[in-house]
Amino acid sequence: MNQLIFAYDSGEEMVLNMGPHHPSTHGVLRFIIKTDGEIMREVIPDVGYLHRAIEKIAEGVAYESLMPYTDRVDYVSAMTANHCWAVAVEKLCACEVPERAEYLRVIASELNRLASHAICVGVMAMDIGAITPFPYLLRERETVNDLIEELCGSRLTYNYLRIGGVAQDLPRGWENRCLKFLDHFDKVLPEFDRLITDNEIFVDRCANIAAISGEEAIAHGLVGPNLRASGVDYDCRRDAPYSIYPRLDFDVAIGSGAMGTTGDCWDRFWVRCEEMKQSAQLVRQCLAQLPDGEVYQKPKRIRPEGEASARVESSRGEMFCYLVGKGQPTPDRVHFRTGSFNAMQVIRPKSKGLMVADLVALIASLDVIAPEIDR
Amino acid sequence: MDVAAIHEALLAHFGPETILGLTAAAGGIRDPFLTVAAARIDKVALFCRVEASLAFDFCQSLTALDQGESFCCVYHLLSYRHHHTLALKASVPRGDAHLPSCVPVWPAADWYEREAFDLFGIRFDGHPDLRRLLLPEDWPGHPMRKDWKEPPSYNGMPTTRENTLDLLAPPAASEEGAS
Repeated sequence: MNQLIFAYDSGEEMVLNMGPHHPSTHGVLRFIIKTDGEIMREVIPDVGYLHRAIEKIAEGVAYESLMPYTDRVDYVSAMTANHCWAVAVEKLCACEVPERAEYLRVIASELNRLASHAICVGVMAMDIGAITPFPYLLRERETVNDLIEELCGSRLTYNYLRIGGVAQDLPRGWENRCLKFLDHFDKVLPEFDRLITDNEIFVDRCANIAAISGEEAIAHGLVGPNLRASGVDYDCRRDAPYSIYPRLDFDVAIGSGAMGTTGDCWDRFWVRCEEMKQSAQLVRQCLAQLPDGEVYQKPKRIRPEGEASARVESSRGEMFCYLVGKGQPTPDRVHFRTGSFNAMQVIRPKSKGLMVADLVALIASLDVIAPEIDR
Repeated sequence: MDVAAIHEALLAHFGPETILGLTAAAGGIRDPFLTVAAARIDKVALFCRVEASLAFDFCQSLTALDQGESFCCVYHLLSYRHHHTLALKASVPRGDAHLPSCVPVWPAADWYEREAFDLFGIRFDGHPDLRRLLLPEDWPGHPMRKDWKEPPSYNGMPTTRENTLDLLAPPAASEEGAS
């Protein structure tokens, strides 16, 4: 403490270590903070603690067998990571996917996005000091987990998608249970907005903090909700469509600086709240349009030669997969570029001049998930 | 713009010594790509970003492939203005793997290049802070190279251990006969 006061008074610099184990860091990551005690001069992120070498492992397992590993690329949003891998392999092998399976993929992905954003906004409120909203949203996420567990038997690492479809069809009565939940969830978000989104104290902590302009967001490669919060109107589901998204009608939420500056922490929070509403609508539309038929079509022997890339709108933004095959049962090279990887990069340039306490708001608002950075 | 038009625009600006060729999407190649001279990749990248008809403002991905004698750096670009994409490839020899950094063009390339340096050992000239990203500073070698072998130990810690199930397995028939 004495050292802290000394540093602040004398204008000297102190080096503060945050992490690698810290409840606000969303997994195991570490920051080296250079500060005068209050204002940060530099923040150096140190990542790699959760590096699982998934790209190296991928070179040793069959295309179909990598699916459970993609769960671990982003365990908070495993369904969209599954989807990215499936789209990449199916593009490379020119596999057919039954229509019903495409609908089930979108239903599962959007439910997962809803659950993932619930974690993000709940945790962000908690990081800033409001504990109550987190368990409120965690309760909703439990129900989503129950629904997804009925689909695929697990609550976190789903392994639900297959090359050529999905693992199982819907269990009996699942549609009705899902619709019941969505009807209930429609009432949750207005309550949540009253509780935290429009809460004066929360807005004070988030508005005008670490605003990222559209140009900065693009230059630093922010994607997904972080990019849209900065006012850039781009959504992979609408602008580079895959699966059955062209048949669905949804709005893309864009940050506008409603509480302060465009691209501030509050905008990033708000965009995710809006996306939860859109996800609920997308699941409803899919259930209404859901066709009958098979959910899996076994692909011909998967030994592709060539290369393909796939882009999927994951919960943390556009996930990019680059895949090279050499006619073997295992891939020659697999590369995932994830949303958190780019979001983590922006922390160093954007944290200069912020208060130490606001760093937590910045990290939480970017929704970085450590395993997704390190893979 | 489609990739043929982009190829023509780049060829007109840089000439065939820099823009080495266009591989169209055919057969297993699902995304067309341009092959570029590695020593000029930063110039090509800058042109791709600032030229208004191209406007590739987002570097989606930068990674490398181990092709035996050489490494191939692969750049995937996206334009938010025109919604078109482009892939660039640049080969560098395995023994002297270095090429100019694209960080001045796309700040997002900072960690991409650090990752490629970490996992493949490719050096990016002019990178502001080329350190390992994912692995510890003292990690031996670059594990995404195909010829990388896991050493038996790291800092005195063994990287493999005996399977205890083997220890408890019943002795093989020949051993039983001997006892």
